[in-house]
Order: sequence, then C-alpha cells, then structure tokens
Amino acid sequence: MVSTYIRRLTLAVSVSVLAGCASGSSGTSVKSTRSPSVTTEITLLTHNAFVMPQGMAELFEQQTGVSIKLLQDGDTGALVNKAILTRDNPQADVLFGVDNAFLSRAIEQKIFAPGAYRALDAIDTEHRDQFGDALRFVVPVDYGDVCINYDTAWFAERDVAPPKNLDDLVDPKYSGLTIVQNPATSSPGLAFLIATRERYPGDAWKEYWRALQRNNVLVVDDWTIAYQAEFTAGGGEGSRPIMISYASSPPADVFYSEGAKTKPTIAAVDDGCVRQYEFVGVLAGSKHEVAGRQLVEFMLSNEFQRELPLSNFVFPARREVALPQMFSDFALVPESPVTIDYLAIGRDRSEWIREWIALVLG
Amino acid sequence: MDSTRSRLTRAGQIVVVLVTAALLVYFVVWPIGNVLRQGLWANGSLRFEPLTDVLSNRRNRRIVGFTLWQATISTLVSLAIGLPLTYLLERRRPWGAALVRALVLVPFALPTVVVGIAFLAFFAATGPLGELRIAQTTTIIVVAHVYFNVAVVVRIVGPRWRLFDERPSMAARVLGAGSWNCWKATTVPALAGVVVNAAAVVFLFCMTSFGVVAVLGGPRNTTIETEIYRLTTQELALDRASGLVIAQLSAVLATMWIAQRSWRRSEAVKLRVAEPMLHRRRATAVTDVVMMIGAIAFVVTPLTFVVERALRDDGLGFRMLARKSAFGWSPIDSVKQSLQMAVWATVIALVLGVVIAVALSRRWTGARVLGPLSVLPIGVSAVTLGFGFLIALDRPIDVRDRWQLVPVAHALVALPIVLRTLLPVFQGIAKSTREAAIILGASPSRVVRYVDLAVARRAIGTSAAFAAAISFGEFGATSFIARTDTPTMPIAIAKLLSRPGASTRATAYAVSVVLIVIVCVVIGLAGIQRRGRLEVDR
Amino acid sequence: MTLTVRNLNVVYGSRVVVADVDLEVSRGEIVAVLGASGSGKSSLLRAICGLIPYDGSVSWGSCSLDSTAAHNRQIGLMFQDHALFEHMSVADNVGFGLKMRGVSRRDRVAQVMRWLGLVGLAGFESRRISSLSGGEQQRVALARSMAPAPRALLLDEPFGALDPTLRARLAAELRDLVHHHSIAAILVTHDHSEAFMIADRIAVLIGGRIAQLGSPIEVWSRPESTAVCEALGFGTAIRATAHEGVIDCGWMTVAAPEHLEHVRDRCVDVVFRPDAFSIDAQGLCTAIVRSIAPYRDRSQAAIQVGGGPMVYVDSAPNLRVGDVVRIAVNPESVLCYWGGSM
Repeated sequence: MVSTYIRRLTLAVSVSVLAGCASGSSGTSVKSTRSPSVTTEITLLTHNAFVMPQGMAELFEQQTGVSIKLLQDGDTGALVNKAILTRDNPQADVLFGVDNAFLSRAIEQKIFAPGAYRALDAIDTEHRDQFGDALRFVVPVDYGDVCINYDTAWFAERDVAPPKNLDDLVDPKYSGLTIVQNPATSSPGLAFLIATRERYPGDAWKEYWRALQRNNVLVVDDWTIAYQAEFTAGGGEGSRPIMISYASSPPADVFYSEGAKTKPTIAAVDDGCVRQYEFVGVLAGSKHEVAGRQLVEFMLSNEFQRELPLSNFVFPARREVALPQMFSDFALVPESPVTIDYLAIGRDRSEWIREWIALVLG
Repeated sequence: MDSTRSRLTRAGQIVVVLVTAALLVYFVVWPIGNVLRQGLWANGSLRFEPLTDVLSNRRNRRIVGFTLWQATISTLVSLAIGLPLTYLLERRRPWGAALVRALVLVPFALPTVVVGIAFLAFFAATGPLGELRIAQTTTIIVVAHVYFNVAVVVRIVGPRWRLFDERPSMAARVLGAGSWNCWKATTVPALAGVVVNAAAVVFLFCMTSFGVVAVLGGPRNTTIETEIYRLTTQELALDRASGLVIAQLSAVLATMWIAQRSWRRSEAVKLRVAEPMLHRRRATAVTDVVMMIGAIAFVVTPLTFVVERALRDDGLGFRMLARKSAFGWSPIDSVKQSLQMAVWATVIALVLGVVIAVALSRRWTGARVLGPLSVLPIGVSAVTLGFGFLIALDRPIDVRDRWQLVPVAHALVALPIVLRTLLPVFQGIAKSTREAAIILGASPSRVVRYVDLAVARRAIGTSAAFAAAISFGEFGATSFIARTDTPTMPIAIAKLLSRPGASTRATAYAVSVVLIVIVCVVIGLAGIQRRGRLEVDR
Repeated sequence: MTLTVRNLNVVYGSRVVVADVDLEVSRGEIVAVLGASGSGKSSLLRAICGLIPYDGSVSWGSCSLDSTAAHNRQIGLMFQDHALFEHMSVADNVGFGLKMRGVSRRDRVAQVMRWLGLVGLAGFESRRISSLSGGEQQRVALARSMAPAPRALLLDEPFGALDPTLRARLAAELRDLVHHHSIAAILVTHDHSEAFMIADRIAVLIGGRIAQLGSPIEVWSRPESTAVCEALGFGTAIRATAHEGVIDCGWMTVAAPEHLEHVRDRCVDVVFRPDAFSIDAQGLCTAIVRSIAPYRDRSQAAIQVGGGPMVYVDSAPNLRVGDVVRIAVNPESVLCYWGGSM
C-alpha cells in the first residue's frame, strides 16, 4: 500500500457533497444515484490515505439500499486514538484502516462491536490465524509489504549493483545512499525498525543501526519528505537512491506516470520486508450495526477486493481474487516477509521506539 | 442622560462581550480543557506527575529549551530583517513598495510541506545551496520561519510606522538631538509597543510551528509541538502530552502578558496622521534598490522552484487539474473548496476581529478577557485543538464533522493577526471624532459604520488579505478535523504528494501554483481597495 | 423656546467636575461660558449633549431631553479640535448630519452647497480635510454643525488656534448665523476677549460652578469676586486696607468706592481693572516706566508705582524706559472685595 503515514502533512479528505459545498463531480459521492427507497446512511471512518474504489459505494447502495458517508481523519495512529477517545459517542459506524501495529490497542480499548464475520471463511489461514481472538471483532481487508526500494536507473547509470539485502545497506559501497523514516512518526519507519530487530535478534539490531549511521543513513520524519525531497526516483531533486517504501511502489510508479512509463524505475528488495495488514470492523455504539456489518462483508466481497490493488496499492486479503496485470508484472511478493505477533507490537511498540530514539537520535 | 439608558448600553456591551467570549471559549478553551481533563484527571483526582515530568525529565527539558531557543532566534532574525524592510516600504517608499508589501504575504498562504520541499531542494546536499550544510539543523528552521514571518512584521508594524508623526522628531532635531538621540527619544517610544506585539505574534507562530520543524528540522530537532503530536497521535499518551500542553500554554500566556504590557505603555504615544508633506516619495538610494531586490529574491526564489516543478513534463500537472484524481476528486474541486472556505473564514475572522477591536478600543466592560482568548488559537498546539474538537464538540449538538468547523478553525487561527492589524487603528480614532458623529445624529451602530469601519477600511482590507491567506494555507488544527468533503488546496497538495508517480506530483505542484496565483490576486485586490478615494493617507 | 439646564452635575469617580449648573439659553442668544482650563467647561457641554452621564436635567422648552440619546437631541457641538472626519471629503463631512437625518441625496447636496457658500468655502466640496488650513477646517466644522439645523449649538473653544484677525471675522460671522437662524448657542472659552466679542451673556465657570452670570457689561463692570476678576483677565488681587474712605495698598492710596466709605481698618482685596490707570499730568501718583511694548495700534507701558506691582497703561508717544510719569486712577475701575481671612 502506497499510503503514507505522514503527520499533519497528509490530511483528512473526503468526497461527499455537502450543502453548498463544492461541485458534484466527486467520485465517491453517492447522492446523485440514491434511489428513493434509501433510508439508511452509514458512516465509514478511515485514515486519509484510503481511496474508495470507483463505483463501489454506488454498488453497495444498489445491493443493500444503504448509502455510505466517508469520513477520513489523520493517519492510522491518530485514527485509532481518536476512535478510542470518542468510543462513548462514536462519529461513525464502521472503522477501516487499523493495522497490526495498532490492532491490539484498538481491541484492548474495546472500540469494536463483537461478533465474527462470515467473510472470514474466504480468507486464507495464512492471513487469518495469526490474529486469533482479534477476529471476533475485525476482519483483515488487505495487506502490503514494507520493503527497501531503490532507484533502478540510478544504479544502472553508475553500473553499480543495487542492494540485495539488509546487510548491503551497511556496506561502505552504499554509504550515504539510504533514507529511512523515523519509526516514532512513520508507519513504514516502524516496520523497518521491526524488520531489523527481527533479522538481528538480541542486541545485534543496535549494532546494525550504528553501522547504518556510520554509513551515513539519512533519517527523515515521513514518507512524503523521503520520497518527494530526498529520493532520486521521487520528486526528482533528491540525492539518495535507496529508501524505505512498499513492495507495491513499482506498479504505482507506472500507474501514476500517466502512460509515460511502461516499466517502473523503482524496484523493491526481497529482504527485510514487513507485512502490514489493515482491518475493518463495526464500531461499538454504532446505531446501524446491521448495515455496518453489511458494509464489512461487502468490503471482503470479490467485487470490492479486486478493485483494491489499483486504488490503494495493496494486496486483497480474500483468496483467489484476480490481480491486475500491472500488479502481477511489477509488484514484489516477498518470499518470506517478517510477520510479527500483533500483541507483541502493541505491547512493546513504545519501548522499541524509545530504545531507537535513544540509540539513533541520542 | 438618565441612568437607565447608560445601564442599557452597558448591558448591551456586556452581552456582545459575553457572546464573543462564549464563542472563543467553546471553540478553543473547551476543547483544550477536555484534552487536559483526559490527560490529567484520573480516578477523580488531579495527577501532577505529567506536570512535574516536564521539568524533571531530561528529554522534555531539552525539548522545551530547544523550542524556546529556536523561536527566540527565529523572532530576532525576523525582526532584524523585517524592521529595516518595513522602514524601507513605509517611510522611504521606493518604487515597487506596494508590490513587495503584497509579495511578502504570499509565503504565509503556502502549505509548509510545499515550502519545505522547496527549501530542501535548495539546501539538500546536491542543491545549489547544499554547500551551506544546513539541512536538518536549527539554521534551516530559522531561515524557514523567517521566510514565513517577515510578513507579520511588515504588516503589523507597517501601518503604525506609516502614520508615525514626524513632528516630534523634528522638534527633537531642532532641540539639538542627533539622529541617534532623536531616534531614541521619538521613534523608539512610538514603535516599541507595536514591535513587541509583532514579535510576540512571530514568537508564538515559531513556537508552535509544526510543518517547518517536521519537514526541515528532521527527527532530531524535536519541539514541544512535534512531541505533543507524537505523544497524542502515536502513543495515545494524553497524560504526558498534557504536561507539554501546559508548558506551551504557560509560555504563550507569558508572551502575551509581556506584549500586552508594552502595548499599554505605548498607547500613550497616540497615532496621528502624518503631515502630508512628509509622505512624498524620496529619492531612491542605492541601498533601497539593493534591499528591494533582496526582498523580492528572498520571497520569490522558493516560488520559482514550485513553478518549475509544475511546468515539468510539458505542463502535465496543469492538464491534470480538471481531471479526477486517484482520490476521487478533481484538483479544480479543491480550488473551489478552498475559495469557499476562505470566503467564510475571512468573513468570520473579520466580524469577530471588528467586534473585539471595537470592544477593546472602547474599553467595554469585560472586554479585556477577549484579548488573551483571541490569541490562544495560534498559541496552542494544533493537534491538541484538533483532538479537543473531536472529544468536546459533540455536545450539546454534534458539530464534529460539519464543514462549518473548517472555516471557523481557519478564522480562529487568523484572528490574532486580524486583531493586531485592526486594534491600533480603532484605538487611533479620536474619541471626539465618534462624538461628532453622534452629535450629528448617528446612532451607535451608524457610528461604527461611518466612523470606525470607514476609518479602518484600509486595515480591514489588510486583515482580510491576511485571513484569506491563512485560510488558503492553513495546515494546522483543521487538518485534524475529520471531513467528508473535498479537501482544501493545501490538503489536496499534501495528499497528492503522499503518492508516488510523476502525475500526482506534477498535479500537486500545479495546484500550488494555482494557490500562489489566487493568493496574489486576493492580496492585489486588497491593495486596490486600499487606494480608494476617501483614505486617510494619500 | 429655550434650552434649560437645571442643577446639572457631572461626577468622574469621586471628583465633581460640574456642580449645580443652572443655565437658560433662548433662541438667537449666545451665552459664553468663561473659565480657565480644567474648570469643567468641556464636560458641561458634553453633558448637555448627552455624551456623558450626568445628574440634573436638560430640556428644550417644556420637553425633557434626559432620556433622549445624544444622536437624537438635535443639539450641535463644535469640537475644540474640530473632530472632522479625516477619512471623508469636505462635502461628506458637512452632509453627514443631514444623511443621518435621512435627507435625500439631492437635498443634501443643495444644503451642503448652501452651507459651504455661507462659510465661504464654495468649491471645496471634494477637498480632503488634511489639505485644508486651520481656518478652513474651522469653517467646515461650523458648516457641519449648522447644516442639520440643530435647535441649539454648543461650541467648545471654537476659535482656539486661529490668528486674531480670522478670529474676529469668524466670531462676527458666527454671531450673525446664530441670530439669523435663531439658534440657542453656548460657547465655552478660556479667552475673555473672545467671550466679550461674541456673547449676549457671559457665565463665569470656576471649579465647575457658575460664579457669575450676566450681560457682558454687568460682568465687566461688577465682577462678583476676585476669582471672577481673575477669570476675566483683570490680574491678581492685591491685599489692602480700607480706612475712612481711603484704600491703602502700601505703595499708593486711592479713594474708596462708595460702599467702603465708612469702614475703618478693614482688610480688603483690590483688583485694578485694565482701564484703571492712565498717564495724566494732573495725576496724583508718580511711577517709573519699566518697559514699553507695542500693543495693537498703540504701545503699552509697564509702569511701577513705589514698590508695588507692575501695572499697564497706554503709552504716550515719546515715553522712554526709566522716565518718571504721573498717573491718574479711575476710582470706578478699582474693584474692592472684602478680604479673606487675615
């Protein structure tokens, strides 16, 4: 998923037409097609990086007579924290976008209404069983891998072999070439920290980070700055060809070039990838629980799932969903991505970040 | 005049003051109070550890120290550049002064992420100024803060310096004072108050600035604001965040207290319309030309970066403007949305600003509480305000996802500057001018219309430009409001930049160019209005 | 119809600024309120207009104005500093009151033209206030207060900063206007010559109270106290003794006025009105010329009698400093008051 968990810089958005506001050309606005029989409107709360695939809100309304109001708010962390703070009077009926880093907090704080979903059966055990009890509240909708990305053109021009694994990043050959994001403020940054802790157990990860620093790693606060300002294949002015991004960045690079590219100039490294899942569930205290459950099931339907890759650049969680050509051609599917017990992330996240700040930022 | 009448007038004043105060309390104090309650109130008792933690924890002490340090330096440098520029623009008035006065306001409206990336392009290792090696340092934060805040100095100090009466200076000269003594005896007392006030506004902006510090400062330069952000959105540690919020509030209140004191002291030096003769343009000196070119280059250089980016790929970004983006809206929609929000925000900010300025300048009963209340929005952490909106504004009616909340938040952020622009002018209106209107049969409301508003027209134009610019560029509290509508331009830009690919990037910069153009037009309109026929100065 | 002020008091905090003022002004009459700065003149006017709260009553004819707001009283006020609207043109200033009364644009323009003509500013309509001279601003202020046809006009030091010639001319014009339009006018000033120049009656205001009220000739010839004398510019009082028809100042003696003819050894305060002394070869006293200064069309000599204070007389053409002259004293102009505590 090429979302970015940047801070205030990426902002809440959405697209429904409000009285006296904006024009009616917004994509996910459903009011124009609302049939007279519609009586229910439910609110879907999500992070600001989510894109409602085209036509899906309309399809859902046709199938169920329920219209969707999309409410977008902050990054994943802010989204979950706000849902926790407002659980006595929730703003929405359904919440999508909790990831494994925040799942245990969301479950612990009881923001979701209990009750298992039928759609779970359509998800492979690989994407399901590790979440155990949490599945009594939520369902995984999609997943994506955070991986090291590099600028293929940069390495080709200089006739240098691109990095193949985590160890290469501390090789003096790649000195001054890498950008990583701050795990305290960036979701891919946190994923990368987890990858290093996993690959270098015990205190070895500390030595790895010291080596990274000796190798002139640049730490920035979020994905947008890393990609738009520092990465050579990003905004254009950058000076570093390696950054932490997503396994699906290559197809996104082609997709967003408006036909200028037929092949990506970004590639992902199949080592140290960390898998992130995104979950959906009905919020406790929702006044439209039945309709909310319909929406959750709909988000796991084949129709919805197959639209996810090219709208949100993630892999569908449902089994046997056809991937678009661009995805199967260019997206990296890591051999053995790191998956971490979501309970462990929830428990130790703050401690990991504190250790990292002490080690790297001093 | 019988006492019932005067009691009625008084009651009316109290009602106006109360309603205004209630609005500010509901939209600022109440949300922040709710966050603090969540953070500091546990099991029915107040917890003091988060407060003592701010002082005892080494990391927190360092964060607070760094915040105050960078804000102080940023303020001093803004003054060091802003004051000579103001002198140039308002007293020497070389050719093109009006243009520069308008230009300095442009950065104000630009989203910090765009300016940040532009700055990075210049100061990154491979950039044209990479040799300076100031990326991710305090220096680049200061430079960016100065870039944004010179407008505050020029626009707040300017009107007063322009109206500065030169006759006392002449008297001082005749009495034998040299230029230094003369400056000390007449200019300093006349301007000290307004300079301290401008400095206070700049200081508050720099102290609570988020985007500049996050984008340019890098992960090592943590300020109170970025730490509150991290603790609130990532850690859900409202208790620790509350300690920092309190620290921030204390600094804000202290700053405002100092500003208010110096303001009151300088009120004694009344504004006078300067002699017409003294307003003639003087011969342009070489230094004037150099300074003008420097000022224009300073403002325009980062903008050229944005324009250049937008024009890449044969203007791909501009072709994408009308097309629906990956997010479902077209950039044109966000332009319309921004315009709409700016209109509402400007109207709200002006109405509030005028009411508060009238109440303060006429010393209405209770009006003194409005001053500090109205400065709070720029002094408190935007993320706290955003979270506060969410947990506090669901009662008595749920306004959390109303679109109206966005222009209200914009207006609140613009209010302190609007007020700083209007207040000196309202205070400068002689009491006898208002009385003359009354004697001639003007009812109190007509006095406001024909005297206060008419005299303040120019200042109202300036503050409208400020409010609109702030609304166009607002990236703070409003970004924490959950929304269902099309995003405003800065938010659209940030969203577009958060996706990879040439087309989204080009679109983001094209929207930035549209934003710059719109802001220039708005500021230009305010400038034309200022040269209306019935103006105090020629 | 008269403008009646009864028992008017203005209090700022605990300070009484205007105390128990009673005043009646008829249409076509100008009453000058004469007082030193700080005597409460401006507060008195502001109270009558309703701009500041007061106790007591203000009425027009039989109709009380106390509950009428300032902007509905139809009492004009000309401010000390003119308080012209700097942000408006001359025409907009003059027409402002008419606009507030709802006069149509066309009628307003006609009225503004008429008034500008009357004050000699025809053609100034679109000028800016700041481009006018002091005298021109003065006339605009006058036209502005007169244009809405107020029933009463209050003038606060209207000729303050003007040169004497202009002042005399404007004063005459103002008199004509007030009489012609039958307006009740109150003018406050600290300048006694201005008061005598324009007023039908003079009220001397001391410490917020009216110390004396009467026609100029009454006030001039019979000031009621030394304080009134001082306000009239007669100079300070001199301590003296009255004894059997003679007033002894120590440095000279004069014949006592009638009412003091029979007192013996009483302490009195003596004030010499400006016309008390004259150079006269038949005069009883001798005096030394200390200085000579030009004054209006003549010159004025400061002379000293014995060890007494300096007094002023019209100079003779060939007088020099140091000359000894004989002077006569006009007993009519020697004002005696019972002395204060001894």
